[in-house]
Amino acid sequence: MAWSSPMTAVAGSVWTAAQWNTFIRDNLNECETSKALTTSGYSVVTSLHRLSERVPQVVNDAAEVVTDQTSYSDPETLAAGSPVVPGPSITAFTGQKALVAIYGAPRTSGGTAAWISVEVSGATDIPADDTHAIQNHVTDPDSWRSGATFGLDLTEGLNTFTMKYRVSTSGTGHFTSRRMAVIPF
Amino acid sequence: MAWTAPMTAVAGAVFFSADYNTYVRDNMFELGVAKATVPCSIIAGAGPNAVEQRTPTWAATTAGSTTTSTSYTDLDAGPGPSLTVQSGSVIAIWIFCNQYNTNGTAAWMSFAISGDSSISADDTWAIQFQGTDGDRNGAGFVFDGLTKGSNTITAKYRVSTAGTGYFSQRRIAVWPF
Repeated sequence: MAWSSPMTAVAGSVWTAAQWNTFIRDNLNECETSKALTTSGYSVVTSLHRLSERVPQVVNDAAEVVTDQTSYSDPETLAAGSPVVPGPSITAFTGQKALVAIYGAPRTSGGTAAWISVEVSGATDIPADDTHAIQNHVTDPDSWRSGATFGLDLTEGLNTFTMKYRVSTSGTGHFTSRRMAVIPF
Repeated sequence: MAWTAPMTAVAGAVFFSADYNTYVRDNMFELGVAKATVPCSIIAGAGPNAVEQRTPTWAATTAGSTTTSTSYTDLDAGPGPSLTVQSGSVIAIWIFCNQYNTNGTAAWMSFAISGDSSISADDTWAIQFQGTDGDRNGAGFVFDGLTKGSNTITAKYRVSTAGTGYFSQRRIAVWPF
């Protein structure tokens, strides 16, 4: 089905079942209310006279993680054996755009910068890089928190957003209070 | 056309063509799906029983540039980044950059709104970093009370009291409502 520009009725003419089905039934099925499935979802335009539902998502992970990698990677936890724990991550159905907000308290023991970026996988493939990163030089625990919101151009479909971490040149990066929000369009 | 509260049908009454045109056809033209033309837009309220399409957008200037001005201005390399959107009275704006100041006082990035609204860049809606090593941070601000129409958001920059402010990876994202 698709939206059709509503007909204009003329006095004395018969209103046919086909006209009802095309201009009333089918058009109502294209309205935002008909597309609504999820609490806190919202309608976005996907093409001319076509709407789809999008759902914003957030994720938080307060646990401290570390890395000494100078390229973006998954972090290690402070648990015994230093297991690698990716994320946090969000998987969302998006159109060609999304706003992605990342936040955290990055610091390094070596005094060089600690970076948090975001990788996109799934329908879109965007590696984590400094272009979409927050970065701090501080060494004191919990002395600095930072965040940023980026607009990303995507391929429509199911996209997974995963926070990634690195240090500039040396030292150990520590990351706490990690948060991410995705608002798909 | 405008939205008209739908009529109440009465058993046995004739449904006139004028009734259809007013309560069905014209009201359908006021629905969000009828207004939808630009992908990734949202449908926002535009007053009582009225909706309009709003399109989130963003811009980036990765190249670095500087200023020594202690009041908000364009960087030496030129203005921006800048975006023009059709908005209602509310706009959400996010700014981001890598910034530092050569003498260790603060470097500031804010934005001005021009067009149908007029708001100057100000420390009240700014990100600020004090240091000689660049750090990358951002912040979001929601403005209400704007004049509905075409509004242009332009990044502006300054230093606190002295030194040369350096700014790169400058980004603005705007979500009009």
